[in-house]
Amino acid sequence: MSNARLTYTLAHFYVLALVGVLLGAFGIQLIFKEIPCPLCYLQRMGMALAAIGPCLVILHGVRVKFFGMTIVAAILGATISARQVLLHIANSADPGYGTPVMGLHLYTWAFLVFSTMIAVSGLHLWTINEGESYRPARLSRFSKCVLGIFVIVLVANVVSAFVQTGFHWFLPGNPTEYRLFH
Amino acid sequence: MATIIFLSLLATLYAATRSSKGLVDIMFIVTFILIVVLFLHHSTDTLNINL
Repeated sequence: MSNARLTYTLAHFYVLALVGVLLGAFGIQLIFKEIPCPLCYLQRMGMALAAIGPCLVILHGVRVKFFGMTIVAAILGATISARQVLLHIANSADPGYGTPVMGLHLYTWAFLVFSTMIAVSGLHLWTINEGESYRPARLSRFSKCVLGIFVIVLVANVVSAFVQTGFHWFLPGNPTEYRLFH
Repeated sequence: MATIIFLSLLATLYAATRSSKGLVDIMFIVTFILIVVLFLHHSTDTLNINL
């Protein structure tokens, strides 16, 4: 298997990994009844934006440009999650926002995910040979499933953000309720 | 604004299904800027609380 073909296959798993993280955030929101804060939503947006690069790889084949897009989006996401980490470590008495998962808060996990995405994109840029490309003649069923799941997660986030924001312009700083219902 | 950004992400993905350049680049940059604007708003608001 060529490097480009391997990269093409891996792009599917990158989208699935990001979708998994977004679904995990939804799980915590719905199961533990924790309302996401504005920075939580911003990190979700960063992850979705970073997933656009792998989606482009799936749709149009392996190109250097798409990894550049992922790196740019992941740097933005990492900045947002680092900001939230710094907010909570500034005061040692601060318990942090939300329930920790395996000892780390979601924003810390998000920072690790964004950092990993930057590293993985860099590795692909490093290993792809110049001029090498791969694109199947048509999208496989698996590719369509991956893109479909990503669309569903994005639509779910549209609904969630609208329910929380209501008809206000910005999200509440310290959310305690879904504004659409109050 | 958060809803608009998620809709913008959907539009970016839709543009990606049409072409690998042009509109998708513009939508990506627009979405990026919107996220930065919202981030700056929530990072500099005057609410006296920890997010």
